[in-house]
Amino acid sequence: MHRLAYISPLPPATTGVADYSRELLPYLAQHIQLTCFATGDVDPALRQAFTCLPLAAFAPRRWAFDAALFHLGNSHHHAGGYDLFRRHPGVLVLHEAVMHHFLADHTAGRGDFPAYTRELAYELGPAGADLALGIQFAGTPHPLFALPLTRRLLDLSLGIITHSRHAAAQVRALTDRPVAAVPALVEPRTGHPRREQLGLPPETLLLGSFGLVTPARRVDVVLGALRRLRETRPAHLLIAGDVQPTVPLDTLIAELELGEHVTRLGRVPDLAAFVDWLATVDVVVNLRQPTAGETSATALRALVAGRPLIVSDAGWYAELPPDVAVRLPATDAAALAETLANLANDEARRAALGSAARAYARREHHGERVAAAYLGALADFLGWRGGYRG
Amino acid sequence: MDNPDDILQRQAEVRERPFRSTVPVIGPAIAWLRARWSDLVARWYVLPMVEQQNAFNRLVVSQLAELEARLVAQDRQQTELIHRLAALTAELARLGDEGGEPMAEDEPARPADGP
Repeated sequence: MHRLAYISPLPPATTGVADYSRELLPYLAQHIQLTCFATGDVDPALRQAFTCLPLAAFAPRRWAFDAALFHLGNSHHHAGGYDLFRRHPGVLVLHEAVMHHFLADHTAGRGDFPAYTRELAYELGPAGADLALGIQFAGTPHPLFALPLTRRLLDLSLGIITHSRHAAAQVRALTDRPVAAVPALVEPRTGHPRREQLGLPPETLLLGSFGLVTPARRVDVVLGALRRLRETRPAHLLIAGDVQPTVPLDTLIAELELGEHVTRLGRVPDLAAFVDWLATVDVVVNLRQPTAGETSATALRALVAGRPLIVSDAGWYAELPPDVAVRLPATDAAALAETLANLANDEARRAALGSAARAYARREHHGERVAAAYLGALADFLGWRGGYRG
Repeated sequence: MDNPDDILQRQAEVRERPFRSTVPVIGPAIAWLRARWSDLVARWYVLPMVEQQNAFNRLVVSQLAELEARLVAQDRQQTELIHRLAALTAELARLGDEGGEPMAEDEPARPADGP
């Protein structure tokens, strides 16, 4: 059996990639010998099921593995894995095609602007150093979405796995290293609706916006649509997720006089509660503009929960079939309001969307299928003769 | 917003500043007198130093650009070497699987002249 070093944030780290890894590991472990490397505490159940070691233990043991699989995304939870990847790279699972947010935070965000300059210069050549100078001294904004800042990661890697064809195409445009698109995994979970906690009348359409509220989530558009929708029918918005300081959510809600029609849960601490709230809403709205080439775990959880889902018509979201999710321009509040009104009046359409979504997620994002795709990619990248040895 | 490409180039050049006065009515006359006085007593002395400073600044900016280009090239070269080392490590593991023994963990380094 091949031996794989699996390097990723793991629960209780509060990042979607940690939850994702918890769901993926049992499927991979059926085919490959796993050792996990992670920063900080690891969930006792995972420690019991798998060998879990601190990140620092990887370097001296790296000879003992056929491959090292690194999961990286735009969260500070990836800092240790990124530093390790810089010294001892392997196969890279790029959870977002744009890594600028993470790298800016990991360097300039920690007061190490010269390190940020080095990253920009690596990406763009000496022009990158000039850009850094402009950012530091002349008010040039960080080109967080325009410049992916992935060149070093791609150059280091032995192969790159993305979770969408869209992200794979973005990566292939930047590198000659082998790239594979492997579907993201989502496990079906049973949610228990909590609508009674909100005290809403039965006729009120309940919309849900889930995940960290960033400017790219376009909650402004969702609120604008809610305001329009409420002119013709009762509707309420549930926001489940922390709010980034750059999003003036209170001001937006106050300006649109929606204070009584929005419930803010803040960050939902555990996955079971998150799934409960997903099961509570009538429609999930998951907009993203701009996109960093991510595959949305929230959208996947909404799909597998069989919730009607509205997404932006861009990036990975545009790969969702039209019978599975409604795709709209991310900034069109009028179109969103009209779509929501149509869905509100058409229970059969909502049920059909939910049913198609659940079937799609269970088929395309099933653990067995995802694990096989991972192992196929590893075998291709590393020249394992006859594929992987299970 | 500044064009970042210009920042070093632009700031490298020391320029003379015209004299100005905010005094009402006679302000322009004061500025003119200051300029003439400066021409008479300081310009012949200061201007060569400004030119010397500008020549030095241009040299520094040019050297910085060259160093930056070298730094980028070395950074990319080092990254490529780290990649190749990782590829070789994976290749060794694959060859070991096909007939050899798996490689051991790193051993602590011994002194060259040790036992």
